[in-house]
Amino acid sequence: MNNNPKVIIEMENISKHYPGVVALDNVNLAFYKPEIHALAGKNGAGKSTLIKILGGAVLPDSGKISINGREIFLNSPQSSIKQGISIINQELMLVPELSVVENILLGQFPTKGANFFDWSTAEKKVDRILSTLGLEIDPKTKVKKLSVAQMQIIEIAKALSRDSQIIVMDEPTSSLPIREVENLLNIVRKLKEEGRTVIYITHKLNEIFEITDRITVLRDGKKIVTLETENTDEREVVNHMVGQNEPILHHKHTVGKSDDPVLEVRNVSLKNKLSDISFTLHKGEILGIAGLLGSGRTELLQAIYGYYPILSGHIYVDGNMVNQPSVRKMIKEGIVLAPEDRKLQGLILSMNILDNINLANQNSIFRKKGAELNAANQMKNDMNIVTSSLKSLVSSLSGGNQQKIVLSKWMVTNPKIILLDEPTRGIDISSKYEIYRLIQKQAEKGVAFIVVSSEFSELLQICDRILVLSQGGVSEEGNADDFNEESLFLHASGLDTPKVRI
Amino acid sequence: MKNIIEKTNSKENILKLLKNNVQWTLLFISVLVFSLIFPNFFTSRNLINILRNSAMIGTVSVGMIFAMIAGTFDLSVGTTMGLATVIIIKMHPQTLLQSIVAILVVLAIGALIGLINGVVVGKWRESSIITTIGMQYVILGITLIYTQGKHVWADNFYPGLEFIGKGRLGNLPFPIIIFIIIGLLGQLILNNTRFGRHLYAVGGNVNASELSGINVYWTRIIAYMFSGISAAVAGVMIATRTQNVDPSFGFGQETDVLTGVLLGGVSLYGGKGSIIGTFAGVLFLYVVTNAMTLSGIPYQWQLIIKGTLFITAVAVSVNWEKRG
Repeated sequence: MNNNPKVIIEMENISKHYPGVVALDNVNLAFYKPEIHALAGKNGAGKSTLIKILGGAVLPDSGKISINGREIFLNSPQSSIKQGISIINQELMLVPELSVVENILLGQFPTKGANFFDWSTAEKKVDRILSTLGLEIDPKTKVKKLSVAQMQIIEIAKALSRDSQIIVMDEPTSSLPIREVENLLNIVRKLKEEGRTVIYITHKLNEIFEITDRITVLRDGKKIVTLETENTDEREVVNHMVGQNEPILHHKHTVGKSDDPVLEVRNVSLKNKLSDISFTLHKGEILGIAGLLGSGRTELLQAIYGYYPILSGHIYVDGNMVNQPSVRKMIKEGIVLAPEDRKLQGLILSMNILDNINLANQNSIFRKKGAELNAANQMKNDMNIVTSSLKSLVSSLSGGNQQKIVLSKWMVTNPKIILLDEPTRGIDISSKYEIYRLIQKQAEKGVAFIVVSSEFSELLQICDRILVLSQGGVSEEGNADDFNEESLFLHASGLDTPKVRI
Repeated sequence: MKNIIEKTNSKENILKLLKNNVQWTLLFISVLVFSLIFPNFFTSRNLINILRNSAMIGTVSVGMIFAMIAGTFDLSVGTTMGLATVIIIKMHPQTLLQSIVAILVVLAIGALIGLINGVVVGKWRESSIITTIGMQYVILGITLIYTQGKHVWADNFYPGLEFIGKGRLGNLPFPIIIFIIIGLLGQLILNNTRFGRHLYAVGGNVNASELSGINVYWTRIIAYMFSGISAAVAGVMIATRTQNVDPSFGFGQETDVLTGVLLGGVSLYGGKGSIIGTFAGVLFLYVVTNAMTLSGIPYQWQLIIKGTLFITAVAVSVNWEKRG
């Protein structure tokens, strides 16, 4: 640890509850000045809630935050900026049509005379900041002309222009090309050398071990441990992230799986995302796709569904190549997709349950209302949809019931292959198991599944076989029984053989 | 405890009922108030007059809500109606055959305008407001070329054709009957066909519709074609009733249609709306217009009141949308 680091920001007994979810449970955390401090944890561990609290976007239910020993209240983004905290979100908050200078000094532009912009002072200030960051661009350039890596640096420059002492970075490298990552990590190191505190959130363990001083692991809203990076290794961190007592209901699902291929993906490449992906899906098989955020897992599902354009390669259904795949062609082939975002991509929120369930099942010009009602009633029973009336708007349902509606919409069309993107994200535990049971029941009838999930324990639980995506390709493929959560994490972060740190 | 819940529920239900039928509530209150103020208002003659006047704009509204439910605007309906009117008058049909040809020609032109609107909006993802405002001027230009900018008129048509605008069944003017038939047809399409479901779905959520295998592009094109056709039908009704119009007739009428439609509860953002609500919205607009005429309010002030009504309709519609 560096020369006598002292605590700059302390969070004590922070709790935050959302309806039905404990996002943070009595978390105690201290950050030093200077240091680079990693927050690690699976999706839903509480990292993003913690950041939102630091950024003043969310108020904790209880607990105390102090800076330099003095208690502070962060009740708005402005108050947090005033306390010297800058949050750099994964989705950058830049105005593309404005110049670099205007973006960096947004909201704090220097003025002279009767409130006129003082361009020369502004440019001098920005030039100075950019040169410390090693970015050589004309400050008058419009931000939309910059690369993602450069935009990332503009966000850091914004934080420096406010002289923020605490900089929070959420997955800063997730959308960067590999060659730009090292440069960004160097800048983060430099921020620390200047005496600042960087809170660094990432899924990528190699980055954590490359730059951080300490690592705090969160799991299920609780702080599990804070480790000194020097004295730990990837395995220990992953163990803490995953936890020992996950209820793993390991099933041996072999009933439906056969050797008849129903879907073959051959040498498929997607622009800037994936190259040369090949695999085969069999009748009754449940295939999992594991990968980190940005690994191209969602795009791969959408490409199979005919929604995301395929650069090269082919898709075969029942041995026949599909020419120019489109959504409607794929639905006709019996392939359906339950997308990642239920509300934006899966449901028509302004329509009722009955209409949503029958949306994809309209085969004749005139509606067969009796058949529609029967189908909806049957789905309501089969899927255990909890509602007072089929005429209720789907927007009034819980997340779990909404997901069941999305699945019902496809079940009435008798699909052969069901693609599931994050099928249980944000839904309650009992709906979760109902959906698992549905998947197994259908697989036993011969329906094949491809499941994408960032919950690796979920994939281990329900899948027969798992494909790991990493760095634009398939990095590992095998039976689910041959993986555990830890090995999936390591493969997905591109660390097939854990390095021994010296 | 249970009682309290039931009570709030029944209170909520009444509120919901009022909210869902606010157009009809508004219409009945306005009819009641105007009947008390103006002795000439609640006479069968005046009421039929209101109905006949609203039949034209009402017919156009039926088509326009197709476009609006699908999440797009059609501001070209006014001049489409105008062009159809002018064509019928200038063709001056004197036989049954000529009448049928004239009607088919204007319906085809209405459909063609809708097709172009739909293709431009769908293919180039152009804003539907901008596209159809542009189309409005294109059609006006064509109408002015066709009429050489002159007033058009015709002394008499084939009697069967004239019946469309002037005839009566019993005491009811025929345009009202056409409006009701078109309305019922619209209701049938919206509620009982696959296309109707697709309209609501596309207007409610384009992404989810596309991912559910709905052909968003063609759904919108067909909605625009219905809009163009119903504007043309209104043109036939007006041509055969008035038999003479100004060449720029129809320009600006889309605002009336839009006011009626929005008062009728059709969402500005798509996905919501019904024929029965639109019917009440249009009637309300014409009840107010009629009352203003009866009261002798000068035309200038009528414009101000109408404009205010339009803005209010938009504001209320947006506000409801936000509250869900």
